Amino acid sequence: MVGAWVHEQDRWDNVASFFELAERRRQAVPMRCVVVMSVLFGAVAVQAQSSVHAGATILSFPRMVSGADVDTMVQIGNLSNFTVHAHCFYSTAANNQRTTSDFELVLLSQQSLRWQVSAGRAYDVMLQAGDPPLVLPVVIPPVVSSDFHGELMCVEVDASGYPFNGNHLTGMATLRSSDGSESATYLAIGLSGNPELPPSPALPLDGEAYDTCPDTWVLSHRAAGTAFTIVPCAHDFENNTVPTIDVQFSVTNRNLETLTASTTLSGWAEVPLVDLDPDGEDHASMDAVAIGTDYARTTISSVGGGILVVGQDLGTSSGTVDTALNNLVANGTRADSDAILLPPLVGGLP
Amino acid sequence: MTIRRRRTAGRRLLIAVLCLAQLAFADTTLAQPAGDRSGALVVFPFLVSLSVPALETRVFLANAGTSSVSLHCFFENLVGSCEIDPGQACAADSECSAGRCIQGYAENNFQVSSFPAGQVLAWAVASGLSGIAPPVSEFIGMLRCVAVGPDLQTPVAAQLEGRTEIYNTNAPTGSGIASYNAYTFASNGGNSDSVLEIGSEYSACPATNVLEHSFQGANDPISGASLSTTLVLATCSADYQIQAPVETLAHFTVINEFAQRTGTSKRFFSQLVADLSSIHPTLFQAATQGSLAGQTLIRSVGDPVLGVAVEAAQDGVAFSVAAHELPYIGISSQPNVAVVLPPAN
Repeated sequence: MVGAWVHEQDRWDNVASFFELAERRRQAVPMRCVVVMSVLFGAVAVQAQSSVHAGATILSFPRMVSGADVDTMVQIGNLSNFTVHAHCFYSTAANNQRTTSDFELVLLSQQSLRWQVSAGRAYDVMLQAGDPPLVLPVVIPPVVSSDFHGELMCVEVDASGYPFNGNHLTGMATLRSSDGSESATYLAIGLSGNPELPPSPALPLDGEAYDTCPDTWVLSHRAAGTAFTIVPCAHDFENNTVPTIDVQFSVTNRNLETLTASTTLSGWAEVPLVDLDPDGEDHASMDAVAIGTDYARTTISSVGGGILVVGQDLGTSSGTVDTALNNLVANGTRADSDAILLPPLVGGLP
Repeated sequence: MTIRRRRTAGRRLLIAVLCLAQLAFADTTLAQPAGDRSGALVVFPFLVSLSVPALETRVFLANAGTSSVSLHCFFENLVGSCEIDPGQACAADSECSAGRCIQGYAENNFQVSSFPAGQVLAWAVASGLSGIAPPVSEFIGMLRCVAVGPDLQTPVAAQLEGRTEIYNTNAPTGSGIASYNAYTFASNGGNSDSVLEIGSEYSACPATNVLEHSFQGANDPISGASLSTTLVLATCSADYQIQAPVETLAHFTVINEFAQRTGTSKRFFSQLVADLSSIHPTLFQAATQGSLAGQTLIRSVGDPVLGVAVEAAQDGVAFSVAAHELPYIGISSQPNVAVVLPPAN
């Protein structure tokens, strides 16, 4: 949503003004310490590669699904001892066009919040006997579609909405069927920012300012019932354009026999292995018969831009709901950089 | 003037020391342990193979390197037995009709002489893998695999990957799976003895593990199911020479969605497999916290730990599980964290 930043800020008016003052005071000292310590020890220097385990400035949830049969619970946590803000974007993308809705998140010291993607989260109040009620000043909107297949990306910002390389965010997503028969969880893919460099609304994933996207993604899996959700590393939330990326799959079975296939990504994509057409083979499908053994290891690479990937176990019982979600192993760093472009901060820095 | 000179000299000395520290740090620091990386030491903190309940684990182990390596792998079975009825297996006191659950410890190892580059091995723990991994049943424990040289003894650098799928053997194939990635530790290739020093020769262990979780008994907004979380913690150290479990104490700081904090602690040996309610009867309850979910920070006194969480959703007969490893903050500076391999045959 271009320009939504201002509207989101308006929505926050009363709450944000309080947090903003406190935030600036709180962040002033820790930030100075971070910079000094990083110069001296390199301890908080950028890792140069994505991670699901460390605190991050950019969180990517490539797979968000919300519909009649399945919905997603998101949980995002603040790993720091002070208040953290994030600017989050739900988006779907196809045919090189991105549709986005955004919101802002405020997380108090080491606080985490969980919400249902289809419902969002309203102001929350906890009544305490004898004490003033506790208020959660958070409004997270529901996704705009009742049948949503897309992604969520959150970028840590300061109280004014400007990117802030704090590396304080962690997150996970759980997809669950509405009848409770299947659950699947994965950890958000984190990209850390370099606190030594001044941030800007254009976030280069170049290994210097922010982690580079991985060169390849790898998953060991059963030959049947495996799929991948893939999104580009590059996100243009200002112009809502999407790059075209060639994605290549190399599937090696237990006998070290390899099949290859490729597809074109023009936004968010769910790619069942069985839908791929192996290169130069008689098999029309990358199914268990073509793979040849019960288990295999798939390596995914890309040309024309980096990608972020989550693996799905589709199961064989119903095939409509993920039975497991898997974080893939990330290998190497891309030689070329990608970029995330945030919408303009209308009014500029205060 | 003298004081100023001393101060200046002191400052220069400090800067020099810091610069050296910076260089030393840059040269020796290894990547942190991770489930989304490859490494020379792979740790699966939680494997289970039981007849009642009918749970099984499928292990995936891959060599992502460009050359063949050998492996030395160690199962640690920590299934306990009831104090009053030693024939009854247990993981917690609540599983014994009377008396305490006495934790057991049994180590069982196997070696893989040739693990070709690019190959993936996969097997169900109870079935084993013919000629490679022995079958192991009635098992609650962990698995560690170390890349070694052709002598099957000397540790070497390698790029191993690991993943598990825990499933109910009574459920239809491919359904009800809880999957997590094994932790991998990169090696600097400088180790040639039987003591794998974690934090110097291999990546360091986490300082603080972060568990994002629902509180016990919270109703899942999607399905209406009641949610509960089983936490698994495993010590980073293991001593396969003396074959004794490693003691540690885990501190839990529980923070609800209103950023209120509470805390507790739990002592255990080598591995903790505990429903959050058994760590503390009320602290992790949704009714106590007034909140659907929270963040628990886990720090250990003694040996650092690796963690896996398994969340279950139960609504009548409908039951589903999902698992994930734990993010963490910082790396442990605890000394003497090591995996000690047994002496050569």
